[in-house]
Amino acid sequence: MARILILGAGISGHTTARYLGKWVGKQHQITVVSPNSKWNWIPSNIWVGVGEMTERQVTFELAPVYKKINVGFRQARAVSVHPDGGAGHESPFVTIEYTDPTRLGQSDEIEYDYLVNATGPKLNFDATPGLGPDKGYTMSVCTPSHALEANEQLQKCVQEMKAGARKTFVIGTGHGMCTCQGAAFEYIYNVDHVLRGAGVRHLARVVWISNEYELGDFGMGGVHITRGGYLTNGKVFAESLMVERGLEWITRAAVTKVEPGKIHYEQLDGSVHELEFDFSMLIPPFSGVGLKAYDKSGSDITEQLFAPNGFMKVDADYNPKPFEEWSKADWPKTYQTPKYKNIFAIGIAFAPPHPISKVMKSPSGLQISPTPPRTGMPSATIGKAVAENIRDLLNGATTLSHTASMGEMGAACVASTGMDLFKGTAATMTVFPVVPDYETYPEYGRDMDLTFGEIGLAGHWMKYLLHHVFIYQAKLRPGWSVLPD
Amino acid sequence: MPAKNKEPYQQAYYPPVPTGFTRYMRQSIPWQFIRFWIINFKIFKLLVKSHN
Repeated sequence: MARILILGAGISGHTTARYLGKWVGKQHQITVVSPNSKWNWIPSNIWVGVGEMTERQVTFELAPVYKKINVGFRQARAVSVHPDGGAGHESPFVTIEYTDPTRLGQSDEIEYDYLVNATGPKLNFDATPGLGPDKGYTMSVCTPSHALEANEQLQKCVQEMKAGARKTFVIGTGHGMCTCQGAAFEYIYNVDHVLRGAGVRHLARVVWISNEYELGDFGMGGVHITRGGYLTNGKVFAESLMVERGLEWITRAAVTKVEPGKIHYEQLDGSVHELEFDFSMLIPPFSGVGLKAYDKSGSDITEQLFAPNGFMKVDADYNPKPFEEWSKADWPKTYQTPKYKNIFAIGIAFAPPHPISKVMKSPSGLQISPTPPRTGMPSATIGKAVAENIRDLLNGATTLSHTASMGEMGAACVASTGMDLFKGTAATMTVFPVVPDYETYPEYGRDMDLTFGEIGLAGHWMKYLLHHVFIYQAKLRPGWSVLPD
Repeated sequence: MPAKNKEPYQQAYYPPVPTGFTRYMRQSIPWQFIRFWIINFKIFKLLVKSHN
């Protein structure tokens, strides 16, 4: 019986756990370690952040779900990986620290034969002074509790506006190297929707601020789509959405500091500015969660397993190369670590070889360009491929036949405007592949049939459908495994 | 009071703005019902192509 340890129960970790549980859960020991007792459908946090949904609607307890497929669950955070074993352990093991209230602060060591690192990101609010709801002055929608707090502040502003106050809302990214612009992009439209619904939009200045070179970059170097008889850039599509709603935008900007009611930012041309706000939701930059690694003698080998940003090195080409030489071949396919063939890193936890958007720096040397997105659909696709490979290895395979390169997979993003099924115009955007492939698609690097953008009510239905289908699937309800990931 | 000229060289001056017809079609239930299935089909194709 093999022991499979999965660190993290986000979209990628949960996908790996549910498939391995289904396929090999009765023959092998599968354990999931996650600091949170609940699973969260993160895309719907946007709706929690504007009061359209409750925390309960976007989360559920993991332990009872894992019980259905013989997967063990520990509410704990991983501290260190010991891939060669160590004191008291012949087998590799991971040190964990419980966050379960009944065992809070206790440590444990779990041996494994296969390890899947799906620890996701650390929300690195500390990278920008004054950023974030805990130590700073801006809101976030990255977790359900953050989204609840954002909604509380938003509703407070709405009440003050109903009494005649004017307010400035600033939404976007809180650092020069953020990713996940899509979440902020959706949030700004939902805030606009809330303000219109409350009849106070005329009293609001709503501003987008991001590290993208142009609107619609989304950390993927932008996209080209077919619209109105033209092949046009996603920038036009995104700007049109902004203009239609009377939103302003600031791009090529790195937020460098936040003070109460004031955002400081630097732009690519080197100019520095201040922007006053009453409400601000800024996505933080991501880093690895800070896992350490030690060899059998206890020597620190963290640098061998992890990139400097804390993400785990996998089968990618990490040799530095100029933008012109970036290729889809640089991107990992199996997510296996080069040195330890029984360790995989998936979802946001793997170290990308380089960004997708061209790296841009201001005259002061400050990087102001997005890092690559790995959230949502790509995370699930990667999680399933790794589960398939581990299943095959357990069944005697000697090679990894399932791949999930971001140069060969697509992603979809639906930016809703509220939850109404009969009103509103959501933007549905898809891209294939996420990493441009100029060998297969020489002109734009993307499949122009599968890369598209569309605005309309159908997007609301899509978003609603995705919310319910993915939560149904994640809860392992009947027939979950035939639903697409 | 005479109407004032609208300032031209501003951010909002350049991007395309949907016409009334476009805005109507974006919320037209029959048209959006058709688009819904087309979008679903495209996303399904994208998902199938993504799983190698």
